[in-house]
Amino acid sequence: MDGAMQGLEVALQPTNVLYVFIGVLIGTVIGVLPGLGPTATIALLLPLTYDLEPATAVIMLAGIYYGSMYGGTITSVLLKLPGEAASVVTTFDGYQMARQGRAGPALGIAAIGSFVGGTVAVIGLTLMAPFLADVAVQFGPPEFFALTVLAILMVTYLGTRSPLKSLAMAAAGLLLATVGQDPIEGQQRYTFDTLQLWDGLDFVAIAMGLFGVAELLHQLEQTDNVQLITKKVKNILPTRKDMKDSAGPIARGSVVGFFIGVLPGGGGVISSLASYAMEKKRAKDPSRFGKGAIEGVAGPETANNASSTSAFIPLLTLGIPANVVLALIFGALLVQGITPGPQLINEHPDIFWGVIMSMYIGNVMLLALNMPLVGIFIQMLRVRQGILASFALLVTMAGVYSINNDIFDMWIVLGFGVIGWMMKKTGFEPGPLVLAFVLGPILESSFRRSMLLSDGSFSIFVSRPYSGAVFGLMLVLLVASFIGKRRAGDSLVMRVDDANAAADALVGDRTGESLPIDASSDATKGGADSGVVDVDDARGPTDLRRR
Amino acid sequence: MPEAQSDQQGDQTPGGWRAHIFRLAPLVLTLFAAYAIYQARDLEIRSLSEPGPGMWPLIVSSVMGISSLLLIVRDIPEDYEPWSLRSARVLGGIAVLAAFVWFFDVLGFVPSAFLILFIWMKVLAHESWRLSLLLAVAGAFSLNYIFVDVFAVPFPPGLVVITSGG
Repeated sequence: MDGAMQGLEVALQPTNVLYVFIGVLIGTVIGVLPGLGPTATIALLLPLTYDLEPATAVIMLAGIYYGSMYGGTITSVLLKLPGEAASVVTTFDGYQMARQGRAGPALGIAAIGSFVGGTVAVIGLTLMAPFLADVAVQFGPPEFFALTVLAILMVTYLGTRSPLKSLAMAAAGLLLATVGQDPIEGQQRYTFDTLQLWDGLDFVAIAMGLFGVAELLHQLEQTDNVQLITKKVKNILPTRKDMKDSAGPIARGSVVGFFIGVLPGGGGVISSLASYAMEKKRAKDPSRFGKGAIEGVAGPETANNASSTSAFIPLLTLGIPANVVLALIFGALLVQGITPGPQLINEHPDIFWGVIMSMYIGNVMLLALNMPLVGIFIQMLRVRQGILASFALLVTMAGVYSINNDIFDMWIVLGFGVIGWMMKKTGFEPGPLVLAFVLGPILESSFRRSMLLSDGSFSIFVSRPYSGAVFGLMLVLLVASFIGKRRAGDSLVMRVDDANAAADALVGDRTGESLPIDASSDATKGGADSGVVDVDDARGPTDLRRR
Repeated sequence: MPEAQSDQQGDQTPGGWRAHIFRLAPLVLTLFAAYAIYQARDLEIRSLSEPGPGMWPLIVSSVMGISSLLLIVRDIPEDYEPWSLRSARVLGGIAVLAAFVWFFDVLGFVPSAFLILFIWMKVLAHESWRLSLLLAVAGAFSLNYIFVDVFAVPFPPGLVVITSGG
């Protein structure tokens, strides 16, 4: 408890309270604005965190992450346009509620559910993280190798349309991470006698290019013809009946979201999808779902906030980012000279506990922001994308220059921006690449140290209990996904366009009712046993490719 | 990709070389991996019991090479966004950004910031002359203030050096 009290002191410092506020405000705003998701925003803002204390930097970035989960709901309900991927599921019933004149209660219950989910997850994080960190202290190179491979594998398999493409991207990320000095012997690799490459490629420049600049370039190709259902939201406080109907979904969503968030690759849309599926399965009248059932908003919104919080557990205790946003936060800490891992709780308790405790404050702030200020956030939808994009690009370029005061970094950002745009056009996702790039040095050094320890025998990875268990888990996952693929026919992955069918599939309940959103022709492509969803394809019925 | 969704396995895409143009992306990746493997040979690979600096790059570039080679054969065109006239706007955007970096070095921040903001808003986003000019001027000066005076970033001097003494 000493640590928690110390964390509370850190979180309550005026500077940190201010940066929690800035973080959740930026998060809510970018969640509302469909052009930028949390990944792109955090990537774009990374250079601005350099001058901050490490705890303050992560507190702000974390605030952006879970704040965006709140903000994304607003556009899902009013526009059927998810501001970020995890809010896709909210479009099913939230938009229908808005059409029935119940946008207020939909947004209100989402804010309440998000608050409860976030708070439950923070409590879980407080209780579970020290225990995991204690276990992880005993880990050696084989265990870290196993965990890192698991993280990359999960991100490659979950949330991507084509595992093979993601694998190629992950390998590319690992290869890019080898540029510069060899971590063990210091030999130069792939530097081509260029001085600026001796320290390796800059993580921030790559992330900003692939997520930020690429996204903004891609938007130039998209049309933005969306229609707001209403500009006025009344009666944001849900009725007593709404609260009664939502209590169960919120409670279950908190638990489901928490546990899915801990899994590598499991946060965001998968947690909200699982919650939606669960609520629909439990409902007395499942046909209400997709037609404005408040349970279909309350559960998923709770789950996605819970998962975005619990996703910090593997990062803070094992040093393994569970998803791409966490990889960016991992990178921000590395830049500050801090390597997240089992030692973080002992070596930097201010960061460990300060970040956790700031989430309590952040969740209260979000509730306070979202309930009364939703009308103001709606007005932000009037900011036109071209104006936003031009300023975002300028801040990006100036920001990346400020890292090393070197124009070379600007060319790197631009180069990776072009590569990222080409990747979008050709269906390659940047997430696995960036995650693998971040984890590359850990993976390489733990692999080489393991080989030195075992005199070149791979048996070291399966003969030790923890690493053996992790590789066993990987084997189970691979076999399960292979069987799922065989049953599904031709594809392991389903589209979020088909997410309602997926929700049925997750609980084995295929009622065959009409989808609330325009499903594409390959609605059953994902198959009944797959729980895999294409996060990047989180688009709704109107052309939602603005994200 | 509505155009592409109609054909499940690419059987109905246009015939000839155009039907296979989507295979270019994994082909480029394969060539990239092959080059990385070739370069890794020049580093010390040694043995599994004593891995050298070249061992890991060799392993990951081989994984990349094999997976992208498989993609050349197995990938499907549904994953690819069609190119359109709007794609040309992206090329324009890239050119504007490249020009910005070059002008930033030569002219300094304020003039180059003004140019990128104005061209992006007026030409690429079709905003009005007045709004584009107003926002470009205000944006260039206010961001210069934030970066130079608040964050103390030493921008290249260029033609216009503007500080308030910071």
